[in-house]
Amino acid sequence: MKQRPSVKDIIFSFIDRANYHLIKDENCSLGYDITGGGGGKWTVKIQGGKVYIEEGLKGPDVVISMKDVDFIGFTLGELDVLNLISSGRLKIDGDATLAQKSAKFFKKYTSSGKQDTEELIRLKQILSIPQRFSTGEVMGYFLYNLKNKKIMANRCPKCGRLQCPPREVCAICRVEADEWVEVGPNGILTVADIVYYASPDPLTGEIRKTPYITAYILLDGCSDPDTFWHEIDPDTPHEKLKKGALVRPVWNEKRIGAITDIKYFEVIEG
Amino acid sequence: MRKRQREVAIVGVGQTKYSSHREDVNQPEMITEAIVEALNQTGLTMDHIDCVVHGNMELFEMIHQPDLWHTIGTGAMGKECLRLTTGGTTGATLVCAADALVASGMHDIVMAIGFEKLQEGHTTGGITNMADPLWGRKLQSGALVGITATQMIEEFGEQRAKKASIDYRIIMDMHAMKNEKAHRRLGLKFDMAEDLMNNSPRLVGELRMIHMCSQSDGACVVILASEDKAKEICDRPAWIVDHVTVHREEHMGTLFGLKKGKLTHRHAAEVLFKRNNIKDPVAEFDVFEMYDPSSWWGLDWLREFLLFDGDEHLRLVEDREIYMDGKFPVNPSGGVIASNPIGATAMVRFAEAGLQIMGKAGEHQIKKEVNWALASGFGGTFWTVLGILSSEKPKR
Ligand SMILES: [Zn+2]
Repeated sequence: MKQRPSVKDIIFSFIDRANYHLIKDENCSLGYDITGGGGGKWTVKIQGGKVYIEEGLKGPDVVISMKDVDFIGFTLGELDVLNLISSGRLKIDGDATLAQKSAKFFKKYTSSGKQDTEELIRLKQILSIPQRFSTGEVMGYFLYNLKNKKIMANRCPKCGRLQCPPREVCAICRVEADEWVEVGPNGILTVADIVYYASPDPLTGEIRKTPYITAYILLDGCSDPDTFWHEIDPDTPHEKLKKGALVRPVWNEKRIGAITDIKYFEVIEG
Repeated sequence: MRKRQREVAIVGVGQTKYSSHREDVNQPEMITEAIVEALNQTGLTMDHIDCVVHGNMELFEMIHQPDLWHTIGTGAMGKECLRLTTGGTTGATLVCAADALVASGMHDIVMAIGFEKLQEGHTTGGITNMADPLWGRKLQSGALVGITATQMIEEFGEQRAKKASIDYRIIMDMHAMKNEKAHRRLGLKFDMAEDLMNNSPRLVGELRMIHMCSQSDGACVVILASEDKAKEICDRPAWIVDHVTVHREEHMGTLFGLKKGKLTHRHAAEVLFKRNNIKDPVAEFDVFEMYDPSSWWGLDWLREFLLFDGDEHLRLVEDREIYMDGKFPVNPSGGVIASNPIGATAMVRFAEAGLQIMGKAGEHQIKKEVNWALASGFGGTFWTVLGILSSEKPKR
C-alpha cells in the first residue's frame, strides 16, 4: 500500500498546485485549522500572483477546520465535500464564498508518481448559449408598463383573481383574462427566503453576493394567494422580514422592460 | 376509473450504487450496470425486452439525444424506444409510460431506464434554468427553498419544527446505513440532533446543508411485464394498481400567499385514494417511498400525502413511527436525501416500493410482509406523480 501524504505535504503542495493564471488578481488568505495528531494551523496567502504559506492562523479571510484524516481523505478525493460539511466534519468560518471560490485556485492533488491513468480522462467543457425569448402580447404589455413604473395585473372574468405577472388565461378557470388593472406598487410581504448559498446568477454566470433575499409580495389590489415574486433589499435586517410587513418597489434608473426594472422591494418603516 | 386492457407488474429492478464519484465510467457504462442487475434478477435477456423507455433530466448534462448515445449501453439497437423527460418526476413518468405501454397491450415486456450523472453538469444552474425565462430565472435559487421551514416554524414553533425536521433526517440516514446502494450514509445519531439543526451551514433560511438531498450519479432500471408473463418471471411481482400525475401552473406566486397554498401532492392523494377506496392511508399502506428532496419537505409532505390537517405528521416522526419497522415506514431505502440521481430518483421510489413487495430489498427489507405500497415523484415548480403497488393482482 502506498504511503499517504501528511497534512503538511498537502498544505505545502498548494504552491505547486496553484492555477497562477486564476489567482493573479486575487488578494486573500485561507486559514487551515487541522486537528488530530498530524494536524496544525497554517495560513495560505495569495497576493500579487504568488502563494505564501505561513505557520499559524494570521488573520485569514476564512478558516477551514477539519480532522487530519478527513483533510487527507478529502484532498485525495475519497471523501465528499458536501458530506463533510453537512455532517459538521468540515467547518467554514468567515468568507464562505471565498472558500467555495478557492477550490478553483488549485489543481487536483496527485501524490508523487500517481497520475490519472490515460483511460480515465475527464474532459472539461463550458457552454455559453445566447438566447432570445419572445414575451408574447400579454407579458409584453406588462413589461412595457413596468418600464414606466406601472405594475399591471390581468383579471380572470370568471373567478375574479388578479394575475401578476399576467398570464394569457386563468389556468384554473381556463378562460381568457382580458381586463387590465394597475396594482401596487406597494404591498405586503407574505414570506421571504434568505439565500446563503452562493449560486451563479443564470443570467450572467456571476456568483451572486450572499445573503440575498427573495420574497413573495401581495401587491395592493391583489388577493391572496396571487402574490408577486421578487427580491427584497439585501441589506434589510432579517428581523424586519415579518409576514405582513409593508413594502414598496425601488425602481432602477435605467429600465429596459424586464423584471429587473424593479431593483428590489424595501420594507417601509413604521 | 381504471381503464386497462390487462394488468401489469414490476418483475425486476436493477440499480447502480449511487455516488458522487463515478468518474470511472461514462454514461452508457453506468447504465449498463443497472440493466445487467435487472436482467440477472429476472433471468431475462435483452431479446425478451419489447421496448425500452429511457429518460433523464437533460438540462443537467446538456446532452439532448442520450437515448441514442446510450444505445450501446441499453441494448436498444433496433428496438422500439421512447425518450421522456419531465424534470424531477422523470423516473416516475417512465414507470407510468412503461405501465401504459403494457396495460394497453402494445408491448408485453418493457424496460424503463432512468439515470443521471450530475457530476457531469451543474445541478443548481440546471434547475434554475427550468424556470420561466422572463421571470423566475433571475430569482430561482435552484431547488433550494427555505419557505417550508419558515412556515412550519411559524405554525408549530421553532424548537418543535426544527427538532422534527432533524429527527426525520436522522431516521432517513439510519435507513440509508442499511442500504448499501445509498449515496450519503453519514452515521447520524439522535444525540447529534441539537448540534446539526443549529450548526449545519445554512443554505436558505432554516434549510441547512444537513437537511438537503445529495447530488448523485447513478441509474435505475425497472422491468414491467403483462399479467400472463409476470408470474412466469417473478414469484411475487409488484402489481401496479393505479397512478396519477397532477400538474399546476408554473408561476409559484400562488403557492406562497399569506395562507399556505394547496400542493399538488394533496390533490394527487385525494384523487388516487378516492379512486381506490382508501380511507385510512396510514393503516392501509405498509410502506411509503416518498420523493423527499429535503427533510423539511419530507416532513411537510407527509401531511399533504396522508391528508392530515393538524400535527399528525409531526407526531409520526416524533413517535418514530416512520422508522422502517414502525407503524408507517417511510423510505426504508434512505430516500432522496440519501441518494438523488435526479432522472432516476422518482423511479427509485417505485423500484424500492416494488422491492419491498417482492421481498428483495435486502438489509433494508421491512420485517412485516409488505402488500400495499405508495410511491411518489416530485417535480421542480411543484407537480406530482403518485402511485400504488400491490402484492396481489388487482381485480378488474
Ligand atoms: Zn379564474
